[in-house]
Amino acid sequence: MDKILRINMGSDGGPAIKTEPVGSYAGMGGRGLTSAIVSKEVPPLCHPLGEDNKLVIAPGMLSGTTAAMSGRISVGCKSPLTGGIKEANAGGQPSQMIARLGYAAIVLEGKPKQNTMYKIVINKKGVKIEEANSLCMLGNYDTVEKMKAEYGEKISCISIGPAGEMKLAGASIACTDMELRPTRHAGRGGVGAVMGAKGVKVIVIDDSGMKMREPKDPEAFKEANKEWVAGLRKHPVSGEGLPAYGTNVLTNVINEAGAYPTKNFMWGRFDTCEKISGETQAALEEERGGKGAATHGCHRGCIIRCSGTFLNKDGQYLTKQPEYETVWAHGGNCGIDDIDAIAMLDRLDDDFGLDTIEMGATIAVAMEAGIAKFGDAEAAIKLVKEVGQGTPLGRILGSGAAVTGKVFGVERVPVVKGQSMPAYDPRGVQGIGVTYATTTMGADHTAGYAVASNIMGVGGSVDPLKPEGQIELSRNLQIATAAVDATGMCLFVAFPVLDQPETFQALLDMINAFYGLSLKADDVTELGKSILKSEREFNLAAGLTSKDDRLPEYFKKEKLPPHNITFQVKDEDLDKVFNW
Amino acid sequence: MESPNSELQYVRLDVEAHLIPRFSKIIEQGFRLKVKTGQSIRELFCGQLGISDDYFDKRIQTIFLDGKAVDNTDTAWIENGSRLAVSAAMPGLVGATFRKGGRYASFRGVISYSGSKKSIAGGEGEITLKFFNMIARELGPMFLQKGVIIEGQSFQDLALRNSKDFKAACISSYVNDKKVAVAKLLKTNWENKQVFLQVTSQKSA
Repeated sequence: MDKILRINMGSDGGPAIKTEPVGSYAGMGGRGLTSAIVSKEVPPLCHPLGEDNKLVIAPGMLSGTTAAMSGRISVGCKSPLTGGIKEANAGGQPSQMIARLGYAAIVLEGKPKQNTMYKIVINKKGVKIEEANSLCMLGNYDTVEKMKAEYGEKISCISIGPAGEMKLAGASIACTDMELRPTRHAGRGGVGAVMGAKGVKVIVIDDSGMKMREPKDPEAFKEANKEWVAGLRKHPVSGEGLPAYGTNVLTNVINEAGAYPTKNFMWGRFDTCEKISGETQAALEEERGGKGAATHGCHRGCIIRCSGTFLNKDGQYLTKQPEYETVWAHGGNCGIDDIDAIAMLDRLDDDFGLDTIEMGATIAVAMEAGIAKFGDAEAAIKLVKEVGQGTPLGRILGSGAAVTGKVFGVERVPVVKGQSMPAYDPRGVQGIGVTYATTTMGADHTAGYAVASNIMGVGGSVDPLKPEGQIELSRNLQIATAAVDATGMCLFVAFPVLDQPETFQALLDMINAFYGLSLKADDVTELGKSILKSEREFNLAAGLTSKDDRLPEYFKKEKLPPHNITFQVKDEDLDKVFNW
Repeated sequence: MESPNSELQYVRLDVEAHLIPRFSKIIEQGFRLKVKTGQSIRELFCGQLGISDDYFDKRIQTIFLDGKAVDNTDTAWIENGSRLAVSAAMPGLVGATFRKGGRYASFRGVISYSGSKKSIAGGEGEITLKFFNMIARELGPMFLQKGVIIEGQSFQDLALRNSKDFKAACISSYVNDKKVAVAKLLKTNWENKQVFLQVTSQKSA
């Protein structure tokens, strides 16, 4: 990964390709690299869909190696949804392949002068760009099928659906999985709209003839990876819970806690949640698809295998196993307890190229506005189809919950910086409300997800039962997460790292053996801090202030049943999160 | 487990072992148990219910008492009508947040169980118990074998949803100690009834 591929889509005479050495960005990967490029090269006040914005696609530091779980890819830009910096990441095959082809990043710049869509093909021979108007308004599934027919089955694809082409702020970027299906999405923040604005429909990657990236110290790397894999396999979360039930195993637990946002965040419990729980979903998948159908990885080298395959009632492939956030967003949050309907919504989101969290939250806002009734699955499916068709109503919905709330006069709109909240009510889990409010990304649970912050040595010791610890813990989690996002590691590695110091050491040893470094935990902390610092500075320059680091007012006023609590963290405390 | 009382419909099923996991839905939705009140959660599990301390401490990582996350199982007390839910370690930040005594407990401080002094008189009572995920898979068969009290509607939903499997894999069925055909069992309207359900497999019978 010693070069950066830059494509100026707005160059005179058509897109211009330039490959340059990685230069001052050497040693960076994933979110570390996307945020570095965006904060250094993108004018913070530019229009997100304009020529000055850049779309940066970067594999993680360990992508393309034999390191287990190293297949996350980061996508960065100025977000059309939040108006601030954005990093959204995804699993799938592209990260490993781009890294093996030697690219630390692909940067799409400029804007086509004409209304043309392009495809980019990258292989060991180089890079080719061709006009691809025949793909216009195709769904991600059809787009990938056409690429498969043209380039064979050894490729991976990064593509957008109609939502991205329409430049809707809820648009995602799809990455193909091991079966060459567009099921893994960089979902958040409207990154798909920026790819659409660059006029790129699909990037086809073929790493045939390329080898695994070679570590500086192969023996030490091999040993560390062995320890790493053993650590992941022996932990009850990464080795048992996630493989058996997937992330949707959280439904019952969050619901029992009374923190499961139900019917547009009106209640904390969904009465029929067991119909859509991870346990129910896994049993159904195995009933229809046989043993093992509920346990599947999203990329080669994934050993946690938190995904699965969802077949419809007739035994035909419908979608990958919808994950917790999706099941919640389209399920409990819309009062829908039909798992087949939720799987259909997941399929439509993947095909149209939409963020499932944003769409579920938006439909719930629309339901509160009376556009459809809570619990009406058929109506929800019809609304998502309107987005794919680009009807006026569909374009409003595809622009996200904040826009939809404004258009239909709804006060209860669960967003921060314009981005919808995920599946945990911040009145029940107030610490996550601190992260929703203050993260540079807009409401995002994964921004403070690396629960291994203590083992990583971030922030020292905090009393877990002390209420004021929430600010400090949120800060530490955000720092640790930024660092993990730079490695290309799946965030689920955080659980064994949390409980098993030797597993964290194995991760550090792998990075050190690969790059010939001698990083210590403190260096990881510094990496996380530097990423957050550059992101914060970008947001400030883009016009975001501490007033944007707040939850919507109603969270402070409306009591959430069954515990009847409001969000209680003070504004002045939220402002302390980034004081380090 | 307690014997069923006269108001309950006593249903006993002997099924082929592979059908047992289908009953996990009941364990997940919640069942009722007669218990001693005034005891701690640890005393309930490791005393009355016969779960080992090791399993209780290591495997059960998340406990809710009446919807409140429990940190100290020695000072959380069982009352008549309590609702108790247990889970293995869960993924995600919020999964980590709900762990008993976990590092991120302050994140959900407002919904943590705060009782610490024993003030509940000992006696007999009935609680609702829910097992999720790995715990349901591991402890569910034992509780089903001993018998659990559930709403008739839950039994009916489960039986109808799996009716084909039931007919194929149910070796014998009894209602109030009388043998009945599985087909008749499935046709019975269980709504508004209370069922004491015992499920044994050939292996465990």
